[in-house]
Amino acid sequence: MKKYIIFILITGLLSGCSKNFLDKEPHELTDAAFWKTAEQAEAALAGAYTPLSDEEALGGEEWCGMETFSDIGYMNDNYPDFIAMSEFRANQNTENDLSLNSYKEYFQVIKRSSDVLAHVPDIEMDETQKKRILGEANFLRAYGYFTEVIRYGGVPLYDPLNAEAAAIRATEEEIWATIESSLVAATSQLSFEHEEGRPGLGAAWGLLAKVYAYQKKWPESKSAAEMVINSGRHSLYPTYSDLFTIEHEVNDETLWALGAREGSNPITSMIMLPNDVWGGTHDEQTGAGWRLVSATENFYDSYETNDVRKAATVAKRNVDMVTYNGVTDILKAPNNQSPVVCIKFQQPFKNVVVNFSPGLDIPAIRFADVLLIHAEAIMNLNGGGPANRTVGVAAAAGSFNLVRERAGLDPIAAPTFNDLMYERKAELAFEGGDRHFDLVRWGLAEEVYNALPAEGTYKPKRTFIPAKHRLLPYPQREIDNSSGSITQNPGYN
Amino acid sequence: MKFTAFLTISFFIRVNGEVGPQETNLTHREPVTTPKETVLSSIDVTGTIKDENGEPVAGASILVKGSTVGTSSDAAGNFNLQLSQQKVVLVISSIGFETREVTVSTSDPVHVVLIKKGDINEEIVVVGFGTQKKVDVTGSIATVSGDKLTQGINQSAAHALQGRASGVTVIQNSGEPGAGVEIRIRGAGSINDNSPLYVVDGIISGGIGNLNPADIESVSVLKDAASASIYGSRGANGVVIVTTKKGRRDQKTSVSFNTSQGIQQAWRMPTALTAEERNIIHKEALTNDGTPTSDPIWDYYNNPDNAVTRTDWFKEVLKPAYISNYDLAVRGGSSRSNYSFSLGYLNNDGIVMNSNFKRYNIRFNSQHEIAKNLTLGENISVVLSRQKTAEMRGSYTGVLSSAAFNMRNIPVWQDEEAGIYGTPSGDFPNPVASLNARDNVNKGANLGGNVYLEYKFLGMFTAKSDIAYNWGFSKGKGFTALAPGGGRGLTENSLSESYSTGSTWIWNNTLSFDKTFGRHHVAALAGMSAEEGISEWFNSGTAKNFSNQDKALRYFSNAGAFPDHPNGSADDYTLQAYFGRVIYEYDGKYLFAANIRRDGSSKFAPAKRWGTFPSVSAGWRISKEKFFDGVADVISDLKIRGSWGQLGNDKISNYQFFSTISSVGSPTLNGAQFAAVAQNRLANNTIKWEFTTQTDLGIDISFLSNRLSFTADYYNKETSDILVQVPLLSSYGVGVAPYRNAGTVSNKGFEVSATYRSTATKKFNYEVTASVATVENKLKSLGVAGAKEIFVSDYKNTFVGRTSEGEAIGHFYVLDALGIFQSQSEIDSYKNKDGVVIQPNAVPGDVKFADRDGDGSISAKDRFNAGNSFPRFTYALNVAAGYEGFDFSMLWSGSQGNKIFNGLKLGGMFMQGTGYNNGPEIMDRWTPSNTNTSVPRVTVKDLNSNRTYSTLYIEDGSYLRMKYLTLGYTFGDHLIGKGISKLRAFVTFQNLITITKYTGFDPEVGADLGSSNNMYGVDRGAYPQAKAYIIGVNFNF
Repeated sequence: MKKYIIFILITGLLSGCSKNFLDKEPHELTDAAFWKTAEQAEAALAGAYTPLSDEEALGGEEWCGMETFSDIGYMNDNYPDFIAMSEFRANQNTENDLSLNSYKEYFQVIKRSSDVLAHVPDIEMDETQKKRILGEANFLRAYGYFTEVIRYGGVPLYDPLNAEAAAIRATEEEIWATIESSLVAATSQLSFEHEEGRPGLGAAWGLLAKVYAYQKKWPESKSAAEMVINSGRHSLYPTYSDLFTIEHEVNDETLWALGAREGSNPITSMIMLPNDVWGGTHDEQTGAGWRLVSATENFYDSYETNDVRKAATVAKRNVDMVTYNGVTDILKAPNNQSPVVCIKFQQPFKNVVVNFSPGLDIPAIRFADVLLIHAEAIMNLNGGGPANRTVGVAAAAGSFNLVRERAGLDPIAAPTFNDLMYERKAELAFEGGDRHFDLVRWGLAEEVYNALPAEGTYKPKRTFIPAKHRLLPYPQREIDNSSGSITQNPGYN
Repeated sequence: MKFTAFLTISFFIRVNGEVGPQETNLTHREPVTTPKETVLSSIDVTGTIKDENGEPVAGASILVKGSTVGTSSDAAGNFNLQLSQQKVVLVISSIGFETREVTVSTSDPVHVVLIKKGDINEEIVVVGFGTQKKVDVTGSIATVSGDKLTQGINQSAAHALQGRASGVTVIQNSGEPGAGVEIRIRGAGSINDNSPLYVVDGIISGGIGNLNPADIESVSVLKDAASASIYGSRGANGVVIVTTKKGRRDQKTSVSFNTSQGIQQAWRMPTALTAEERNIIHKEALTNDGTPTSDPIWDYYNNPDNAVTRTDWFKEVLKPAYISNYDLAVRGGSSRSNYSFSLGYLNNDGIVMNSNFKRYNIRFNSQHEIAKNLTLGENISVVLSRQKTAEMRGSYTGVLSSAAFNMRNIPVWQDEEAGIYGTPSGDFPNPVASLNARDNVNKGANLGGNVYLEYKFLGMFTAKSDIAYNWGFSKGKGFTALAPGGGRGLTENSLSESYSTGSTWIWNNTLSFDKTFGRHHVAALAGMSAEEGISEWFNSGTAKNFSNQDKALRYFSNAGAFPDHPNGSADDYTLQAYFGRVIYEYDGKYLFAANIRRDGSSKFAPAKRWGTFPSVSAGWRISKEKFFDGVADVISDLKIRGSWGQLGNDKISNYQFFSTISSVGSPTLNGAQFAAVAQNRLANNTIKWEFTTQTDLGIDISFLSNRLSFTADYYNKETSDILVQVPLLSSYGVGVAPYRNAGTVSNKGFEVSATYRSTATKKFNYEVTASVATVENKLKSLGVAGAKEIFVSDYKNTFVGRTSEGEAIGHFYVLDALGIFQSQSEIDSYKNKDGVVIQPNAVPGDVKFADRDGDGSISAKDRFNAGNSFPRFTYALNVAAGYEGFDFSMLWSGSQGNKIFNGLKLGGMFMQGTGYNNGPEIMDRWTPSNTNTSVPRVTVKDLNSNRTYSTLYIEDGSYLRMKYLTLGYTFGDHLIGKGISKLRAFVTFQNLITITKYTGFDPEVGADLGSSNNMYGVDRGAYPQAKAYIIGVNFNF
């Protein structure tokens, strides 16, 4: 019997503690234990900001790269598949970090801000703080969808309560409606005071004005823009070039910028820096930029005389002086395919090249943009607009000329839509690709792009077919992973 | 149909064991001369009979030769015999032992050691929680003896298993010192983790990658379900049981010392274009793209200084490297105890400059009979390791990619005295700068052991309690120095460190029963097991701005900036199991076994936690039947056997049924970093055990007094409810997909092995073993509504692999390159059925792709299954022979019919841009005068997308490699000095010959780590295997 006694004893020992023996809990907060305190709400909101500074979102290559779809930029030879898309000859969206990761990163912004909106209302906390958190979450959610919809059209809607929704594409109208409702909510939750890197009420109204403009809802767009203009809280910064410097990056004009600190993303300054500034004419380090995105000569030549924005935005090989790493000399950049580089974000490297990530904030929406949207809305409401490009609209002059005069140009009493096209191009160049999205929404991309002659081999002659190219091809990885529920955009295969 | 065939032919000679004084040893089966028998007065002879391990042999027959006088030994092996003659020959025999004859002429006690029969009928096989006679085994088990694992210098026991057991595939992921290997048994059962369960000295272990091959006595691989099901919970991918060497009872202390020293070099030196060749290619590309000659980009190529080849980057980074190992072992035992102590040291420089792996192994075990029938024993192992790694896999920082794509007109040093490197033109760093600047060291310490108490009672029961504890610590420290001019990633200094500690305890309790009643033999086992493991980790984040980069100052206190914040967490699990086994044999003819195991795992939610895994097996030794007697002269043994069983798999990350909130970086808000969290993984609380059901039918047959034997098995393995992370759409906004139980995979195959052993003669002995195995792997269903396929293995952001229903797991999914367009008319006439020109952007020299969907354009829809990395067969050839003191052996190992996706072609065969060099194959590009080629014309713009992944990237990965060639000599007694009982010297060549058509760095590509666990053969620029020339000596004292 001894054996049984031993056996039973051992069994008893083991089973005695077995009730809880197999219960193991993770060493992270579980969903069930989270969403209880104000600090958690702030950390979860911060989680929605994180992806924006990733390499392919606001702080990185895709944001810079979208300018290559327009007539003012092109990409040096790193991403053939992205270049194929920007030259309107791609059948699919694959083999490039830029689109595939940016699609993912903006969806992380959407998911995380939606989760904040779903859970934070139930947290017991200071109501003012809660309101701000919800307002920022609403803004970020809208910004995420806005970025996706102008590239890909109807994307899936993330809904914390309906997991299936994320697997099918909603319609473009549904996405725009979602953006509008989020921004409208944000305008009741945010205030004009805001920390660097966070949107305030001005950003919410400003983005809403732009969102209405994309949908040609001109009265709504005009009044949303006026909420910013008439607030008295925002104004143009006097010196255009200072807007893109670490010293002056916090100002009344920038409604919302991606916050930056040295040594951490964004890397925008490095992305546009030539990889050899001096072409061997100086012994100092010649620069190790990625020269991913550069400017066309056509764009360089299109600036009006005396426009101060030219010298702040572009520099030409063998013509313009640049200051880099303590040296001021004529630009060489021999490895650039065009003679023109974008220097808009180069100021941090003027005296010393510290690091890929110099800590320059990246402006996502500026007061100047809102003023021009305001002028555009007024034009469209007063017989102007893309179809009547030479019709001058005096009512638009106020907002329009604020921007123009800051650039050192003479005011125009009754600006036409053509004038507005120039202002938007010169003012917003290389800030996330507004030029291309503007031309598409105006229905003018076909006319403008197809008329351009080839420039070198880097900006070949392109054929823009509106029905196809108004949207990018959908990321192939999403189609592959969807079991057929995600379909390609029209015209692509 | 995928075949894995496997062939081993081996010749070997037996080596004598040690012989103590007062003992006679009859290892050689030499005829003993019968001395002349003389009648003298009667004497009393006493003696003991023991086996090689010092265990008493009870019931042995002791007969006076030529008479009927005799006795048998008692339980303690003692006997006493009255003899009427003073000088007689005693014939001592016992089942399972070689019969011995001993001449007795005095009344001194006789101590006889019986040697277990070398006969395959008596081979003992280590099985789960015990041992079994090989003839009684009803499952499918492959065994490898320890001496096979010490040929050449192998980093670990796992590495040494390559080519040694049929149905067992060892996949080398990398030739880097300290890199691990993957072991696969009978194909890939899961879309999830397919690695087997490892059991070392009875204790489940995380792996055998740090086990010194010299410490191993034997390895058993349990391949079928019935054999593995006693480990039911985690035995679905097979079980590898390792038994380490032990001392023997009554063994005089023996000391052995072995050392090997060698030089390694790359088995093949890769090349890249010279500066002149690069100029030809790049200028041609610029011309093809219509780049005007006024464009300043031409200046670079027109500068004669840039046409000078200054550097062979591969020769700069791939250098001859030293490798050495030392093993010292002391073993022995008294009548009630035995012990073994061993030390091992391995120092392996990598062939990539500045890489190295050092390991110290200490192992101790002993067994003591502390009271009658009560044994206490333990195993203790200490492993210390230090690995200095080279940056290999980074897509822009990998050393070999950098060597391949950096221009060769750039010097290593622009100014060596000033410490300024030659600056690369592209964004790959100067590889020499990268290797010098990166000081990445991983250190590991592992302390493990178990203590057990075993009690035998009533002559048939054994109770055993075994408790094991393992503690491990690892530390990684990476310092990157500023390397002026070195290029990307080397423009600032930084330091990061990470630590982790892990501990596991396992407690096994078993009660076993073993009894023979007449012709009935019954054995049974009941047991339980509990296990708990926890690991804790810490990661410092990166510190920057070191004002002084001196080696002594590479610590956090000297950093100037701390942009990251540290993180850390813990991971733990528990497992609990109850198991039982019953074996019944009738007359050694009819064999039955049944197992059952019930497991609970903390990885599943309470309602899904427990799984039950049964198995049954049976065998029939036909040769034992009376009707077989007639052919017994020819067929010495014949057994058929069959088994069926179910096994489980819970190898997924912990806590998958919880939804958690984790740290997700730190955005900059209000100018400073801000802690951020998010739900980054979705939970699934319905996940449960993955199940494998396997049926095995086998036959064992031997001829010519067992000199020639065959074993054949057919198996059918089906895995269902596979735990898999089905890739999630980005629109869910999380980084990690949840696990789900989905899919069914089937693996079927044959394994046949044959052995021929020569009749032992003094001069020349050999053994031949050949085996063949086939695997047919198929995903029967993915088990996800609406889904028929999963895309895997993202290479530069595009999937190159796919797993789909009805096909083998993980095949290459790319475009079909039909050839090169030779003329514009060929392009214009390449239309689909609607007359649409399929490749309108092509010009002569571009790649013609198949429009498989017929829609008139080339797109992702035209991808197809372009083959996979499953070999049609792999094979190994082991030849060894001994002639007097000489021994010779070699092992060839090869793989046939597998495909490799050669990722380096992206920059080797196609232009990546003008900033990068290319591979030699681009010289054969299409030109109007070189039209008979598969390499397209050179172009940077690539308007036809020639570079798109296609069959141009898929290569035949077949290879044949001579893994070892050893020639040794054991010195005769006359040469051996005082105190040395054995002295052997040898030379070994490792990886001496490799025959392959593959153009990448190495055909042994391995798993696509970090991307997909079940995609093999995606070559991202793996660290090549080294060729080694080794000399060594073995001493026994």
